[in-house]
Amino acid sequence: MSENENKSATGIDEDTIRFFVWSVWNFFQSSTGIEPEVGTPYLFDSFDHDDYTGIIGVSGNQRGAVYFTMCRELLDSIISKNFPELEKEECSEEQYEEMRNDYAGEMTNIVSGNVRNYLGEQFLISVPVVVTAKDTAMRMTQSTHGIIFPVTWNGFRCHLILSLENNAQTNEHDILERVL
Amino acid sequence: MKLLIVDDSAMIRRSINTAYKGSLFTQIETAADGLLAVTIFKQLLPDVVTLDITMPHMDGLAAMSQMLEIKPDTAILVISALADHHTAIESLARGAHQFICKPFTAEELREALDDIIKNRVPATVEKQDTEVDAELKKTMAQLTTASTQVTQKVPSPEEYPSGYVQPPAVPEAAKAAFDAVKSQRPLTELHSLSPKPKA
Repeated sequence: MSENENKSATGIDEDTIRFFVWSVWNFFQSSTGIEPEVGTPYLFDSFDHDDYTGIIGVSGNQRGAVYFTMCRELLDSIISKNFPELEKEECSEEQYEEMRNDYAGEMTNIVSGNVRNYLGEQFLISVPVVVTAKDTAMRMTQSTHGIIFPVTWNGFRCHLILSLENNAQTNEHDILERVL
Repeated sequence: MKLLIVDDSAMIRRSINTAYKGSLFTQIETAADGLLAVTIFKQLLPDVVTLDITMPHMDGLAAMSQMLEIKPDTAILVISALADHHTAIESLARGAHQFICKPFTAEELREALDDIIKNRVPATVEKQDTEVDAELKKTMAQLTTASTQVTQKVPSPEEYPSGYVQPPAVPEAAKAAFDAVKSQRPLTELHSLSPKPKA
């Protein structure tokens, strides 16, 4: 049996998907004034990292991770839009790289944190971690499929990926496995 | 006034710093986590702090408790991505003056900071108020004791010496004023009882 066959359908409900769509839309709209287009979310088994990926660990009433992967050009565009004064400053490539990493993490943090408005305080999130691993396969930590949200902002593509499962469901599943 | 910006995101620190550089704040310092923030706080003793919640080493709520123990009159603005009501209420209950959600606009930040600066009551003023209240109560107690002693010493009409002329009756306004002092009524009421100057 392949790894994909072992995976169950995602436990994420329709409302959770709506909240994340709203959260992504709200982030771009509020922080840049430019509305993004959030495409129809779909299930996926494998996906490759783009230039930068912000990762937030989730615990509490859900378990898993939120990934926000994006290209360098998108980050540069958002940063220059929010900090136009940077063009006058003489920033080294190293400093720019730090800013891109920082912004990728903060974007993931804001999008994940904002959904607590709907999912409640038991949707616990970690501090963000950023990886730069373009074209390498993204490995899901969960036994469920991931849900991917394609996003287009200002002509650039990025993807929000949810790999979550209900913690109560997990426990029931674990118990059943032990019993059987 | 001094400002301390606490956030693990350099871009957030930068955006707040840029918005307030050269403004009413004479000194602006930044910290990337709660632990470092408390260390800087002890030295800087800022008047205003902007504080993120989800941070490495020590979260914002724990840092806020420590900061308020050191300097209770610090005005704290929590700026967090955690948009649920529980987090907002807990932040305010623990001593934050305002709570705004990320992502925020420059106008939202300015409004929130202006609001907490405007409504800030320094602890020194609160302490002075408490001291004045205590002094006032002490004086009132002395006045009540003295007035009782005076009343006890006043002879009855039968004890008046011969040739004594009874003084005019105490004006009603004066009686009311004395009663007001005894019952610690506000001074504004005493002013209203005072005889009006003749035109």
